[in-house]
Amino acid sequence: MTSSFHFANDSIIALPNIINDNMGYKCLKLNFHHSLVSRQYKNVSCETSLRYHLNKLKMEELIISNEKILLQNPLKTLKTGKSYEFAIDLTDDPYYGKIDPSNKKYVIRGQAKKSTNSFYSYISLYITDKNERFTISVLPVEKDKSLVEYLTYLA
Amino acid sequence: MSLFTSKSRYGSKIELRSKECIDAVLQPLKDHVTIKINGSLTCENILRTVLNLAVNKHSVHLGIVEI
Repeated sequence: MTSSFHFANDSIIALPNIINDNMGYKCLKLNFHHSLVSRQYKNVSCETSLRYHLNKLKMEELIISNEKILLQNPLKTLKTGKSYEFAIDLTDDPYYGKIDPSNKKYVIRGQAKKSTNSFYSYISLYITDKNERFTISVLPVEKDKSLVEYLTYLA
Repeated sequence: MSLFTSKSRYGSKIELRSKECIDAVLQPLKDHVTIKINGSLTCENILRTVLNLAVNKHSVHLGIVEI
């Protein structure tokens, strides 16, 4: 296996969407060997392997380590002793898939947007410095938790 | 992380390519996310594939394609 890939653009979206199969399209079954990953990428493992190994990850563990992951690079840039402004943002990511017990608590219902009223929502905490923005924490919003609980956690 | 530079009449231009962006994100993930795998496949392979899917706004679909 090598690491040769082809890119269409350079935007990055949140990992949970990838794991939970949240695509912005209607989907149709197709032959395994002509499926999306193997058609778009060369020399990568098949979807079955990807799913099997990604299923070993626990959302709770990712939430706990997300600050460490996101802060690792900004810590090299940010200066100790300097004061920074913080910003908190709530992002709704349209979801078109099924709701089942595994994702039930993370799929939020809201005002229709982009042909759906189901969303994965994320609360993000940023440090802003002049023209730069550092994301230092991203939490998936759960249906039964109030926004105040997230603010308390982020604070 | 290596940056590609090229000189023009407006000065030097720094081009940050997809691989450099992916590598920057991959390192913290490798340091903090561990997937135990037996065989030749590694945790880095999985994380790199997932990151590339994310960059292209794709998803891990078993035998599924967009229409």
